[in-house]
Amino acid sequence: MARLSDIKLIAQVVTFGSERAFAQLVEAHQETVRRFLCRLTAGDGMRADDLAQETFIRAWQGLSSFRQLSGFETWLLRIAYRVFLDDERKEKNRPKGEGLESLRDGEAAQMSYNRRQAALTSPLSPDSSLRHDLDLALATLSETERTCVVLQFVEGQSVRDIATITGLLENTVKSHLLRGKRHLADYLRKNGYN
Amino acid sequence: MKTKTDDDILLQQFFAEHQHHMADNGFTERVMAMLPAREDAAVLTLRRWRIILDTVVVLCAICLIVMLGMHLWHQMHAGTIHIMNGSITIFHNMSMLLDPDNLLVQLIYFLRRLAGVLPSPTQLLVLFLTILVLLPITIKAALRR
Repeated sequence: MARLSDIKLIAQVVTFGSERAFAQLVEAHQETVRRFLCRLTAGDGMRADDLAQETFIRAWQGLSSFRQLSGFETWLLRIAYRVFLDDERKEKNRPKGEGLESLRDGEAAQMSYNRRQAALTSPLSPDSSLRHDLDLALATLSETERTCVVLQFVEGQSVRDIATITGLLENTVKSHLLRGKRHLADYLRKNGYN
Repeated sequence: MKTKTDDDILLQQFFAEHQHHMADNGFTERVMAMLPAREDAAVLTLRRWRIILDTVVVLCAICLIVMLGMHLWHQMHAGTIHIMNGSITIFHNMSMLLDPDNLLVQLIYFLRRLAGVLPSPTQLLVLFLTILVLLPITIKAALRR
């Protein structure tokens, strides 16, 4: 269930179109959404912020459809996951030879990697090496496994909520979690984490 | 009962070590600057008026129920007292044949006085049922508008 303070703010947004109330909602939940997207995009902070922005815009437009069957944060994460999937699909379908993508595959991949590295090793992020480890470890998982593992271990979501966010069945989530955890634990042990 | 596996413990430690805080850094402001118009101002104004109208209708419905309930209450009260008075007169006439200090006679006079002050259980039940029937109908009518 949504928190009481969230419900109050949502009611103000839906009834009176209050931007101030929505700003409070964004401020309260921006960290969860951005962190989740940051992990899904393998640490690409800029892309994660763009996607998070799109998430909140979609939330603003569709807030009246929020039925409080799940928590507000779960609802937001569900939108964020859809935004991420849409973006992934766009990236895959984008015809090569447009704008920045006119660069050859290898060059584009290198630029993307460099941008990610720049974000990770930025002086503004003192814990960048730790985050680098985290993203490298998560990169060993499939997209769905990574999503399920991040939602459980980083965002503390239950299996039921993960199923709501990803649109998968609870049993499917459980098996993704099981595989993902096994892969990740093996990778960590190989890299000196015990 | 589920037990935590070694994998779970290792992963929990790993993610706890790698947890990091993401400061807002103007993110909220950027989102607010990008927000499209959610709805026309006219739609919002209409919605506000509808809320006010709905509230007025519900309040009127409550007043109506209370007034109707009061009216029924008085009607029933008067009717009950009339019946009781009739019965008591009969008992009183009969009691003239009995000992004036008879406990039964005293009890009947006491009940007569009491009947003028307190509602009977039947009256209470009728009032409750009236509210129970009228309230959902009035609320439904108000919502349908």
